[in-house]
Amino acid sequence: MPFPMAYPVGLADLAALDFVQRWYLLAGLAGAATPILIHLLTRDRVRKVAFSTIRFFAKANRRVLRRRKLQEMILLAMRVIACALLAVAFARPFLKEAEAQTPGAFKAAAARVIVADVSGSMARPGIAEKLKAEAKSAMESLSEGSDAAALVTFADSPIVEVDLTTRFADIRSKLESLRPGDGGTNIAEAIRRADLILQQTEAKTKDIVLISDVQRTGWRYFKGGWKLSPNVKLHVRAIAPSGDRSNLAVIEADFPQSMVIERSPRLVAARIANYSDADRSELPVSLSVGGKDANTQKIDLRAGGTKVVSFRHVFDSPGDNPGVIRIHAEDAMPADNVFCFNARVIPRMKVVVLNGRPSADPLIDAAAFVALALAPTAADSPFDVSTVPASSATARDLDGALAVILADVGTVAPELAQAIAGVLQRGGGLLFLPGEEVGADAFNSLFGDMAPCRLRRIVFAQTARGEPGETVLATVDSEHPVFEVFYRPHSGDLSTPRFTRYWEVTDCQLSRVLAKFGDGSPAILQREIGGGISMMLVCPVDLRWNDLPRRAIFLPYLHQTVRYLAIRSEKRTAYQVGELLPVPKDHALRDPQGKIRGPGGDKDSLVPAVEPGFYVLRGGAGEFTFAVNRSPAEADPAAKEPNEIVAALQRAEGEQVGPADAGAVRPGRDQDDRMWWYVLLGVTLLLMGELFVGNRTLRH
Amino acid sequence: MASTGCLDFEVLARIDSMQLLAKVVVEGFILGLHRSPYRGFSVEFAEYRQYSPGDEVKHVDWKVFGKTDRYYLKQFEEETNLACNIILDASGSMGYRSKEDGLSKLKYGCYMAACLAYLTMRQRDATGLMVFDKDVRSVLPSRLRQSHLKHILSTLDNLQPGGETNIAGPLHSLAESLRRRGLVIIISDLIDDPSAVMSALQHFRFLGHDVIVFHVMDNAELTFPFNSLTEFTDLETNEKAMVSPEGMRPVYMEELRRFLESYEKGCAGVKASYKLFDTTRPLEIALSEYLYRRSKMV
Repeated sequence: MPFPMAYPVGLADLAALDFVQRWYLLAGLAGAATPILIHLLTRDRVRKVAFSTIRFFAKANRRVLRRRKLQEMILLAMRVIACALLAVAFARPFLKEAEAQTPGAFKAAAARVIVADVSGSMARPGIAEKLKAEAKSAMESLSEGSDAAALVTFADSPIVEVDLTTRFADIRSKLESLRPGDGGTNIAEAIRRADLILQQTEAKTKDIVLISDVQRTGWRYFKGGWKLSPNVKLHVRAIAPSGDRSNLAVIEADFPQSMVIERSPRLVAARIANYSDADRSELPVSLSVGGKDANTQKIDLRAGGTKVVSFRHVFDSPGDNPGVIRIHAEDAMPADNVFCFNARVIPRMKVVVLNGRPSADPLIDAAAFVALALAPTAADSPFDVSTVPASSATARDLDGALAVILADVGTVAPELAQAIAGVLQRGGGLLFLPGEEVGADAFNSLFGDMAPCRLRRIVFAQTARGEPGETVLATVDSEHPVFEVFYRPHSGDLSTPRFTRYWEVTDCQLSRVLAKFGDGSPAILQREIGGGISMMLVCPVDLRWNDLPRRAIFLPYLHQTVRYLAIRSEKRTAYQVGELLPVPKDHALRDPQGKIRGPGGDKDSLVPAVEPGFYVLRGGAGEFTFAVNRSPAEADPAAKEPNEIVAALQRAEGEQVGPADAGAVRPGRDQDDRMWWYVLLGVTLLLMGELFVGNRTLRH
Repeated sequence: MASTGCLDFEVLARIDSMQLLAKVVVEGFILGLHRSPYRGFSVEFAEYRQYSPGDEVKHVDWKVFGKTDRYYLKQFEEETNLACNIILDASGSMGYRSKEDGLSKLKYGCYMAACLAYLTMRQRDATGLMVFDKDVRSVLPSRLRQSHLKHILSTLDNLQPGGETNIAGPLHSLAESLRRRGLVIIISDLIDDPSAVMSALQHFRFLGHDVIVFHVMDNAELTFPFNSLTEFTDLETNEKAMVSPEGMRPVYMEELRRFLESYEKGCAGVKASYKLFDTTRPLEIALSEYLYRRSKMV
């Protein structure tokens, strides 16, 4: 901005300070007098005592009295400052950055902010031209040089294209280049931003001109509680598309974001909406995966209705499977006829079972039940299981393993231990099944940093009379992904397995206890270590310890556990325009146009998705595809009555800012100004100091 | 409630007559001693023994011989004829009492002196009373007559605190004035320079007196229980000091500890007996101390 600083730096900082809740400030500063009042009212009243001799304290007395007075003054000052700061904190101070640059010296006869909607819904035919025309029309009544104008465009969030200026060349230039984007609509936030801009000027007349299709869905973020500043007028210029107003859109879709490679088909469903006055019949909707047409269905869709189209598709290609659901029809807004998704398929998971007690007898072998449950037949299992005796296993055996199961493994070679830790570090999972081959001390020293807890001793279940007995899993964390399949009725009873002995564990404060035995001791624990997950069932899969292998829930439990350890589905593949895509360090993001958007730096970053389509992340771990779609709300052309918006936001003549909504007229500060946090921190420190000095001060 | 062991001080305070008070305390005390090591201390005890060859003929009681026609010897317990001088401090600081209805140090000292005088006279010991503040205020030389006890008790009855303390000066004067060696009991709060007081005690010891120091202090002087900003006025000098007691307490207690320690060690150094009393302690302790020291002397 061309406006010079009007104050010296220090004073300018103070002058730039304003408060959101000024009433609190006034009341609070008055409250700061309270400590002084209390001090005066409760001052020590001198008691007079005739004493046998004052020889014992005559010398030290003056020093003590002087110190006491000083401490009292410090205490009083601290209390007053704390009260005042508390008032300041509640008043929510903020730095008027814009005003600091353009302080009250900004003089203009009239000021106007043009708020132009460039959301996805404005892409309908003819709207963009109308938008420019309306904006230019709004500029015409302003005289360059004496009046001020600003241009704000908005979709999901407002952008100040040109701040308040009396020279309109920039605004005109920007207006020429206005293009609707693919973002959502947030009308209220844009008007709040415009109101803030108008607070920079002392113009006699201030107004906001909103040029938009005034989508009803774009007003849904307004929750009330604030109004425009006094003397700010709002004009809404609603523009409607010309010609064909019909619109069909894919407004929702359900698809598997990530899965293990399987031969069975998976469901892909999409909800199609018809935002027009005419019924549509034989409407073709197609699914294509990996650029190939997979299926096409024809649906009948009545006017104003929605319908779900379901496809079943076998995702048999490992890695990303970018797919598109498309409506093959002409309408006013073809951009929302397409929905992109990515079903990420993970190839067979390599699982290594380290066997701590190999034996020819499967009832004694520590890994027999586990290996058999994971891969009954090598061909059909999603798990690529290899069982290796722990005593002879090497680090190479763990190459590429997504999960490692330590079946009754008490000790391993240091190199192998390092390799196991490496599995965790690269995001894999460990499952500990400690049994009788395990010694607590050796286990704790070797696996203490990898296991979710430490082992203490083997506990034998007992009956109430102290006789040998059994215990069961009494508490299970059903919100955990491993157990969510058992949550529904008749989907497996986790309390059926009987446990005769188990390891008592300790140091599990940092772990999540997923299941507990009847006596409350942890049975299954999980802890996130590095990028991976470490889990422990505190007993082996061994019939001498429990009857877990005989129970129906054993196989689904083990499959769920290993799936969870090997691939966790936190990685999201579907986003909307305007959301931020995570770009890890040393990765690059390529947008749908093929341009590199995410710099491959040495820090993780977030890159906003600005248009729909597939964004490909490339880096050390291979490729990952994000599917980005427009906000489905943009498809709905229903408009809001402009007068309703004006009535909701514009103040009545003479209506002033009151304490109740004083904060509301300064929107956006919540996120921007954290100064009150620091003030509160200062208050806290002061009160701590007060406590310290108070304790040392000689009081009643 | 403060107690003398037999009677509460509140009860004693209602006894107008110092003699009656002393009698109540001492008789009660002696009653309590009937199984104590002091049994049979009466000096009037005498016995007869049959004459045996070698005995002095002059000790034969001829009256008994006249009545019984047998030779008996008359044996006497030797009378101690001890001179006991009670020296009481009646300076202004002795007038201090922490409670309105409590005993001042001087009153407590008077009770103690009265009881001691009553007991010593009952023991057939000659008893004197000297009262001082910055000078010797009154002197009643040691006498054995019963009427003398009345003088002592009367003096104690009419005693009022006043004047600054100068313990050493009067004690030196009194030491010079005592002709017979005996027991010297000093009752004072000892608020003076300890080295000067010790010098005076040394003076008594040098002249062959046995010295007992009863150091009387008020409980408030020992605990400094004040807790709000207080203006203290020195009872002797009228000096004033504004004090924040909570902050001053550690300083006061340390100074007091040094003060008491200097007297305790100093008395041990001059082989004087030292007892610290606060005004709530039983008087019998003072009587016991007197009897103990007396038993060492006879």
